[in-house]
Amino acid sequence: MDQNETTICQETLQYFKIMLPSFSHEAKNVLAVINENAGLMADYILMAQKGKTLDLERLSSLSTTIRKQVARCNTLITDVRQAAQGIDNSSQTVCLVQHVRQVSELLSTKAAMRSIQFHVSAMEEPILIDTRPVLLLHIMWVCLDYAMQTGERGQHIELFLEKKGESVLVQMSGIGKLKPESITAIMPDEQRNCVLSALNAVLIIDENEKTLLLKIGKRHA
Amino acid sequence: MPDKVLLVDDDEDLMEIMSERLRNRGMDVDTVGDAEEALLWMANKHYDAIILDFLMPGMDGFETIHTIRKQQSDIRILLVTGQMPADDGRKAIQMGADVVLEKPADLDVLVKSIRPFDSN
Repeated sequence: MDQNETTICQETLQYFKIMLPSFSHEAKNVLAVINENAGLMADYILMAQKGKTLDLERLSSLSTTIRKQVARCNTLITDVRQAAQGIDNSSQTVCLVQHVRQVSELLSTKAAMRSIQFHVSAMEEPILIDTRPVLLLHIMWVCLDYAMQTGERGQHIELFLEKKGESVLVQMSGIGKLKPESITAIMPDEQRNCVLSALNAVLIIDENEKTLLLKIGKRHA
Repeated sequence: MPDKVLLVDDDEDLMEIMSERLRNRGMDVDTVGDAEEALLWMANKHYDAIILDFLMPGMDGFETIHTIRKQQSDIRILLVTGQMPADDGRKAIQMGADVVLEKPADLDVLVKSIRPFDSN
């Protein structure tokens, strides 16, 4: 295995190392809501046993909350399972929109701590690319983490996804003062360049326009 | 006198249900969505306990504990977290948290932590 492939294997593991705590945090929040729902239902049963009439509307509302949380957790688990399927780093056809949504959701708690919100804009149809999915998720994570760290509290970070020729573009705007050296603290230059090269991608940090542009090839024909 | 509890979490579903369950146990509960708002409420009302999510909008959990302790020394601080390395849990206790619980937490354990000297 050459040095580049070794770096790519290390960065693949690195993605799971940084992503799994966020997944676990979100999943535990879901469990906490379901657990409290179960507890509240047990409270209602006790009250009913003591003669209080059950509030059916309230029970229906609790049922809706549980369904919502189950759907939330199902999305999280599906995303992680899909990421795990790409761990061998083989090239796969994936939807860029889904991958960007996945990373932005996993980073949502971290973003909320800084009162930052992500907004993803893309065309209705899927944007399919042939790529190495875990590396794509990893570089998206690095870009969004960087955008958050440079952004100011309360900012909305806009992500525009579009097809351009053979490539796809992810443009991030609404970012604060960009310092190119800060991204190195998140992912050192050597590793970042290796991952970008493996993705056939280019990352442009525009300090004047306060935008990040990730150009990725190759779009699925 | 009912225990006055301030519940701080940015998950509205969780906050709504937990507050109802605490009220069912005779507590006077206020709810807020972030730490900065919690500090404002604390400046205007005396609470016996505050239940905090560690990761919240606006302020780091350690910073929140430190600020609360400076503001009110006798309040019980109960930290509930989705996940926290053991070192951070110890640090939270050193900084003034009374209890650190991992989600999903048992409400009865929380209630006992609010009323540690209540034999019922």
